[in-house]
Amino acid sequence: MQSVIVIFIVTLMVFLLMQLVPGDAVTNFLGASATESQIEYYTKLFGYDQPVLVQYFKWLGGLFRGEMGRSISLQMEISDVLVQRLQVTLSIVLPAFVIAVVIGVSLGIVAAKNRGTVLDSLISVVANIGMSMPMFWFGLMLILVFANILHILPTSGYVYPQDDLGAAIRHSVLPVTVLALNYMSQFCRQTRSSMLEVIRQDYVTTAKAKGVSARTITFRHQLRNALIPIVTVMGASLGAMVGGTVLVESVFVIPGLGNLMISAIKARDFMVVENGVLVISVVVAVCNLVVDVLYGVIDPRIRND
Amino acid sequence: MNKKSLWKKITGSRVFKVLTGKKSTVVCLAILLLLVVTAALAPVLAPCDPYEQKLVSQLQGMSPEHWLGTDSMGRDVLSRIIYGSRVSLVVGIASTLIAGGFGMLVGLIAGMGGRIVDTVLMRIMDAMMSVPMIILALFLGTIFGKGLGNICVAIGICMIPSYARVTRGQVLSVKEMDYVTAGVLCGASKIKNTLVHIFPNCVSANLVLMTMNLGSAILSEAALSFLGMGINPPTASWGGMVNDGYKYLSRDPIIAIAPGICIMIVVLCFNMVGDSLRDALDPKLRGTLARRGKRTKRAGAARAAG
Repeated sequence: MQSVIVIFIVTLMVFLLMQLVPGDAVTNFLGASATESQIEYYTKLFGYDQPVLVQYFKWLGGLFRGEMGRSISLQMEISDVLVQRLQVTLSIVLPAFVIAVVIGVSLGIVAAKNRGTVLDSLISVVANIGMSMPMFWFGLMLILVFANILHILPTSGYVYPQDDLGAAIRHSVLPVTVLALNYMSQFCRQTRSSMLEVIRQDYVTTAKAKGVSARTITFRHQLRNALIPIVTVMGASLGAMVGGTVLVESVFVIPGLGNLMISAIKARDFMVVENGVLVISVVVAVCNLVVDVLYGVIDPRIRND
Repeated sequence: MNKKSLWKKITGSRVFKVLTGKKSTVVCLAILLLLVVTAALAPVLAPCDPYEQKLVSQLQGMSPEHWLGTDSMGRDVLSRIIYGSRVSLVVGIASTLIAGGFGMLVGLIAGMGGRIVDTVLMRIMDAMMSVPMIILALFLGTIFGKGLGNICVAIGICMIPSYARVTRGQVLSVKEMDYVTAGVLCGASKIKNTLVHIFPNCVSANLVLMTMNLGSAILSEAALSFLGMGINPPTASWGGMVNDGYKYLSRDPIIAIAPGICIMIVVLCFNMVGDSLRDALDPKLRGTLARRGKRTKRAGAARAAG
């Protein structure tokens, strides 16, 4: 219920904020040579002549009927555009997320297990650098090395997997790497600090005394107890990744949701922006919901509450 | 208090000890100090005028005259980097102060204002947090327009929710303390109680968050400038410089590499100092750190003993 309220506030907030943006979609679309009557016709056609609240509730009513409206700048149904762009974004975000989780959590465990050693310091340095590096700049550096100097990967662009799977993978390697490195660093740091909190607990000593194997202790006794904050960060990150790929999409010229948002903001295409933000906030809400469910799976005490 | 005892108090404080105890933190602090000095003395340190365009000497590459070469308009890259440090520093500090100030205010009002006020304010904060920061910053940047002040405000607003959440959490726990109840019993008004007894206890957690967010603010400004929606050209900004160098990546990569390295180093330093400050000020970690210290000493002694 809380998520629904938050999504409702997001829609209202974005709708009202868009009214403050200078310029309008009709004038942008028609260009400087448009006549008064043309502007009037299109303004009426898209309902921009109505009061703000009427426009808002009309849009909300449309959403309940499964209609998002038509984009003035793209001249397409917004729902079709969003579905298509979301698929592209997810094809970059999901592999990056999986890689970030696997490598980030593994490195975090290794660092915690070897606390104070050279290995721990090395992992911490890599994680810190990964978090501090501007994503767009790292992308450019990868393009420079792997595309411009070594010529083994394409510089930019996107190929749909159904068209050519090999080319699609080659085009995805660099953007996925950029996105994965940043989030991997966050997961690594969180795993390390969470693991350090549980690593010397009494139940770990008991397990050791019972003769439980090191691997079982790490994964069953330590990682499981350290998992709640890690899962929280993961949930928040996945939501942020979907909306936050703007930079990666911009550097690698990927026709995803982020690029759509930038072009829609520049074109003042309010309806696309509003629906885009709505989709992103729904993704964030779903991630939060999954995290809440996972809390119960990880910790029976939360489930029993 | 005389100077000597003040100095003793500062050097004896936990924050000072933690900040100067780790070599890496000291190095980071030194680099940040260098950044401040560079930003303050930019006109003296810059070898050339960062805005002077010489189309005859564009994309010249590294040379004794132009250490980091020149950009597509013939401007000296090193001078632009030196001037760009001002933008990063100002955006980092100003947006963090805006976010911290308003965030603490919202958190205080939410924590002290009763259930309805709390619910309304925190749901708004949740809504702001559910829109990714870069998208929200793009939005606000478009509304306010380009320019240094506007970007500070846009990034500042985006970061308000995290401060509001932290402050509200602190307020809710502090307001149950006995000394707050004692204040009420002594007849202190709600506002006085909030300002004198509750607010000071929320500051340290927010200070840590501020230090850690300085890096994020600098990264956000760089990202906005890279997308062409940040600082107005020709003002030198590191993100904008990477964007300029992007087009000449094969021919003259240093134009894009150098400002990116600067962003990374400064953000890294802010993050590391923030981590150390958190270790020093977080009451939960205090015991752990002390125990860790003792354990390390004990282990060292045991090793030494054989």
